[in-house]
Amino acid sequence: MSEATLENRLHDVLFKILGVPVESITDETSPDNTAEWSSMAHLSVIMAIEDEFGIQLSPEETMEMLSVRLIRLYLEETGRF
Amino acid sequence: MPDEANPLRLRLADQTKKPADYVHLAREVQSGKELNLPLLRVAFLSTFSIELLKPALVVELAVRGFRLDAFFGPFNQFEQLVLNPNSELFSFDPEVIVLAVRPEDTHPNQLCRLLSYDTKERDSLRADLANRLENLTLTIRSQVSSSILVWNVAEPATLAAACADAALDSSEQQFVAALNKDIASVARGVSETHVFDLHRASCEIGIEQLYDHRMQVVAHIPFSSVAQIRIAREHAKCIALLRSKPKKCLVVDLDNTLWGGVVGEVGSEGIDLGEDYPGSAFVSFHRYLISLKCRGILLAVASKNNEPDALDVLANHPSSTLRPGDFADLQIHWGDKATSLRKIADNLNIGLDSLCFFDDNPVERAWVKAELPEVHVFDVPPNPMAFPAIVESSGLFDSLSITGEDLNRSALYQVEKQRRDFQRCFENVNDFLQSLETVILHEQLDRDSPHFGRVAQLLSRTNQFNLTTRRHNSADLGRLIQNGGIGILIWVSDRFGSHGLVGFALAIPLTNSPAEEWRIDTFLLSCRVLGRRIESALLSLLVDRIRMRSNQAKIIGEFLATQKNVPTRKFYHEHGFELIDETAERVEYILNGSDSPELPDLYQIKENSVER
Repeated sequence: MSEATLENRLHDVLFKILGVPVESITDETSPDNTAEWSSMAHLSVIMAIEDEFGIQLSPEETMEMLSVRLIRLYLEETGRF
Repeated sequence: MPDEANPLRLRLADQTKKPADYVHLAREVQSGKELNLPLLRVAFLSTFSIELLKPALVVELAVRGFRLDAFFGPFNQFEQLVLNPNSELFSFDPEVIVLAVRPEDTHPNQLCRLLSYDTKERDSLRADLANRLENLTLTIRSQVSSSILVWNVAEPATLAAACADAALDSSEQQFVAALNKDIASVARGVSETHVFDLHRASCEIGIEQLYDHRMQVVAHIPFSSVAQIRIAREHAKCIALLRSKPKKCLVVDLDNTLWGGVVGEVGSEGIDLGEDYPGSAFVSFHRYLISLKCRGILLAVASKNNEPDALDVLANHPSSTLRPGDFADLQIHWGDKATSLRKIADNLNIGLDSLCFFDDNPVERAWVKAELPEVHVFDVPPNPMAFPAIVESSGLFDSLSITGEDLNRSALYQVEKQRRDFQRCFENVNDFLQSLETVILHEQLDRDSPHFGRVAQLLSRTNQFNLTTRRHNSADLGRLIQNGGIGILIWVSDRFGSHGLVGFALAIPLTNSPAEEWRIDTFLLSCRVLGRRIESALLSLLVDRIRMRSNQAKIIGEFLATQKNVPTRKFYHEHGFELIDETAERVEYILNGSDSPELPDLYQIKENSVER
């Protein structure tokens, strides 16, 4: 699957969970610059990403995935998407 | 529903929703723009972060017609909220309060020691948990009248004693079972309080899929995302049930619904009902229906069949788990099914909107849907194996609590039930019919009779057992009697009660005939008393009266075919008349001068004393 598709899938998940316009989502989007990315929303983001990509994150990974870039890099590094 | 095709509603109903879709859809539902759903205020008090379930709760409640207005108490602060009458909980004015208290959260350090506890310690731990819930519910009840849903307890994620647990006196599983029994008794003891059966839900989800230990340690939510959605759905079901009216009666067809094949064609021995497939699938359906009946759902039959054939299967077939006495009403005749359903609703004194209809025939289903939109018509799959699941998964008969009255509902329909149960005691139909202690009252219709209106009504309404379907009005009838016609009215009653005026026959002398000849102009019997050979008595009474007028009279009987009276085609033939002429639309018979139809010994016949 191409990188663009991975990014689209990731952005779509974030758009659905956070409720922000999909065009506004970039690599830089994070809880720090996005009010909708609350700590509760973060858990939803994690569960939705796990479901979408069929992965299971560790507690540490769960707490560290604090920007779109970090999530994207993680998904790319696993090399499966 | 007018907005069934609403795009948001369609997306809500989509079965392939993912966790992200729930969040997305929940936001749309909560905006309230697209769906005009009533708000429902539900407060959640929990020992963990239950708020994460919100999107799924919103979506699953919207699927069931409600817009969730939720209050989530901060986790582990439920007691403060409940004990303070001025708390945010009570100012929220919830219609439903969910108490999601997990012993794993409230007593983790005791539960991990459970195996080492003696009986007294275990009982005291259980009492502590149950009393806490009881105090909470009673305190809530003293403040507000909200419905309360109390969670019971799921199986533990792991068992310390593993495969030895089940046999231990200090078994963790048995502790859960005992605690759940205590929680049930708390719920029963407080009004408008119900158990949210997390235990059953967790079994259905599967214990391995239920828990997410990572989420527990990171975020104080013990459940996996799959389980969260499922638990939310079960909540939505329960909450919707608090507001819904369960269906009361399931009306089933017979041929290809309760057994395979058409009994009228293949006979009782030829139908599929028994140990071998596909008969075994029908037997399973019988058992499922019995279980519905046992929890208070009324069963009824609407079948196009010859009643004796169908009753013979229900009463005597060795593999028929369902017996006639299991049905509160049986409409087995050739009349249309919408009419049967109306009659069932009428006989059982329930609304048509309390009925569900289960019939393998798509034409019958379409007819009932069109005629009676308030009746729920099941989409019946071709394979009988799937029948129970179709009914069960609809949830239409679900209710949050079942009362003693529900369990004894059949007693409320005692007259019907008695009659049916009674039938089970008899080897054959004649024994049964005799035991009914039927009394037939008859009266000859004379010019001054007060009954013309009723008779005309009977003529206009009777379709099935009606040999000629002539719709005379009362004036026509008056004229026919005036001109020498003989009309016989009959009333029927039995040990269970009266059926009222149920039959009428009219014979007319043929004046231009050289010999004495009479023609039976009208012969009908209400469907209420079909299958009891009442028609033989009516015919016998009519023939006797004609013979009293002219003792060697030849009597012509006619059958005029309609869509509905086909089963009566051979009536005269079966009563000793000879065939004269036959076409598809009309059959003519004659009874010669000295012959009389046989009168079965099934009832008492009395003349109605007329005092006018």
